[in-house]
Amino acid sequence: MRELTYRDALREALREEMLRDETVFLLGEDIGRYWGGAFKVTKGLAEEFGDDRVRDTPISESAIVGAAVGAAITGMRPVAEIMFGDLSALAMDQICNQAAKICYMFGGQTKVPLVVRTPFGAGVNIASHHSQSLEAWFMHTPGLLVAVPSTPFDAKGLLKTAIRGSNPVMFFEHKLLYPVKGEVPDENYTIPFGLADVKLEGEDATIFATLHMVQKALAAAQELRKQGTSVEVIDPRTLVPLDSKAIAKSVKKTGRIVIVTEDSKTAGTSAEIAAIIAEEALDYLDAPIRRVAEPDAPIPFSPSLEQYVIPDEKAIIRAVKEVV
Amino acid sequence: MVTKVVMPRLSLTMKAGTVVTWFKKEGEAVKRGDPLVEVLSEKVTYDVEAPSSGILRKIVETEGADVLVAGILGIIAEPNEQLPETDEAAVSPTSERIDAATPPLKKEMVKEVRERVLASPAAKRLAREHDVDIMEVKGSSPRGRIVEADVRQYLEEKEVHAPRVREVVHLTGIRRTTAERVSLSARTAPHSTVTMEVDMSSAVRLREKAQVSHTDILVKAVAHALEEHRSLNSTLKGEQIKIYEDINLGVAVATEKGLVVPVIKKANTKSLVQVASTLRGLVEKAREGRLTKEELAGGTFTITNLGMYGVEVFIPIINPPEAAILGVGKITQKPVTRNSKIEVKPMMYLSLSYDHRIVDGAPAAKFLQRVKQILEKS
Repeated sequence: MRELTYRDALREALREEMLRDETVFLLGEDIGRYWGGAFKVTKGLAEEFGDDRVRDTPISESAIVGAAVGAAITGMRPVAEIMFGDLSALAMDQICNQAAKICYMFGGQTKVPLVVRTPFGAGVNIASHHSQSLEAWFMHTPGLLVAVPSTPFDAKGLLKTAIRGSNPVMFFEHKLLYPVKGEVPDENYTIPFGLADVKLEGEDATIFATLHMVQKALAAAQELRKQGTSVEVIDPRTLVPLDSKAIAKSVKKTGRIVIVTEDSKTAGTSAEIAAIIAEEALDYLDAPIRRVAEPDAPIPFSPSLEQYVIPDEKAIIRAVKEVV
Repeated sequence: MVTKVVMPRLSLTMKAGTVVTWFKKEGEAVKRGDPLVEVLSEKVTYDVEAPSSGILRKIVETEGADVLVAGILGIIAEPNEQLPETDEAAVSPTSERIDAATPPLKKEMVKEVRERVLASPAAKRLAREHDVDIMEVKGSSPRGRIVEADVRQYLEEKEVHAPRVREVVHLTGIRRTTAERVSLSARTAPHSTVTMEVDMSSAVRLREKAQVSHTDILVKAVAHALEEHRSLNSTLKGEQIKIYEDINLGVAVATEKGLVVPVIKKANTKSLVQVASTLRGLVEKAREGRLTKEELAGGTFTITNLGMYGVEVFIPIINPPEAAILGVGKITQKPVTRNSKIEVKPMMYLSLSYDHRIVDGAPAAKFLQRVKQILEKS
């Protein structure tokens, strides 16, 4: 099968959906013909579809999402890009108070078919304002869907589903995943939301991981395999809706769970997953639930300190060894 | 500095606690913050930390003591420091023992909490599913924590040693009733048994003459003896012994479906021939499974005979709520001495099991002696 980078897979999804449906359009800072997006996801699309459908915007995240919400409720399918996930804080009112609630507050008379794409994650030495992982903020807001693809295949399939849906989707990418290559079939496909994927089957312990942590979990699993421990890696792919059944099933099989996420630990994604496991699979746990997450601290600018706070393979291996 | 270690208040409603374990001995050095003594309230166990550093000079309340909240448990001081009066009342007016009127905290509770095992939820679930007492499983994880694999291994090992099962029979009908009743009897009535050998020569002659069975003669003899020894024809109910007017004799009958005990009502008022015909009818109905509830109810004393199976003597279980039961063995031709001469006589053992709460050995023996007398002179 052909291999694409995560970046190219996302671009292919955008392009195919723009070809398929002329109400689909993109807006964001520097996504047009002069720059093609800070991470080059939209490179070449302005040339193909014109400046009207690939719109460069002023530097105002609130305006980007606000305009997109307005377009969405009047019949368009906007895909807004926020250059760094951290800056979604500037558009918080539009996302959490408007996009998330309009369908409900207008009694379903209008839908908000909106996608907000934005990258999270540390590891490229760009300091606290550009390195966070803030998925939990949006998981905590009813009315939003949250996608967290970890492979090119998932990125393409989930983005297409996000664009075709009728509810607002926070589509979270990861900076370090953009150049990562993976198999993506030629034929058209989509991936439904709320369907977890077992990235690696195993017997002794389950690792739950999202985004870039899936890569690290798989690397850790490979090392553990050499040491005789068989680890299962499960990726939820979407946090809202969450495939809690699949997570519980894996835990029931292995009896041990290590939750690996890049967001900070307190009240983070990992807290929710741990709670669900305790609620739905407690009687199958053979060891305490372990979490590997970032410490509760701003991401440091210093590269060595930054590497120190990001969960790595060693931390994952250590956590697995604690429970098996 | 002299510091008192006191019983903490672990909850709003806690009035007193129990000293479970002292982690230090008198004279040992302690450091502030070290766990010093484990105490137990009705709800939780708690490690009381040393409130200051020094020497644990005195343990005021030893393990197992119940102490009011704020009562003094021990005293920490410097090695040579003068301690306050060691008289308990002087140490603290609050360290008085719990009022005798308040129920003391149960020792079992201390035990239960202390024996709580460290086991994973998965291990507990598996143990629950297989009816395994988790306390019997050995934990393999650090600190002896029991994990699922330990329970699995325990089950496998048990599997190896357990005998193979051929079939499983569910307890239903008569079997179930019998199981419940004998358990009740064995559990509640302290059994004691007296035995006696009876010369059945005259009973055997009577049997042939009157065309009746040994059991008929026994029923008649027992009914007669009970009239004179009423305490055996009774039941214990709560704080009262009820002595019955009616002498209703149950006779244990083995059927294909199990043991049933039809009752000959007012056996003492019936003639031997009447007893014989009543019993014949009842046994027939028992074998055919046609006994009515009424025919099975109201017994005050039971006779059980295993003589036909060659049993010489056995110890029967009382048929609750009755006071006693008479076991009958087989009649054997035996050499016995009569007037210093050896003669061969048909001999039979009787064994009387009685509820020792209701009667003692002497009256039970006297009753049995009377039965023997009647049989030997019949």
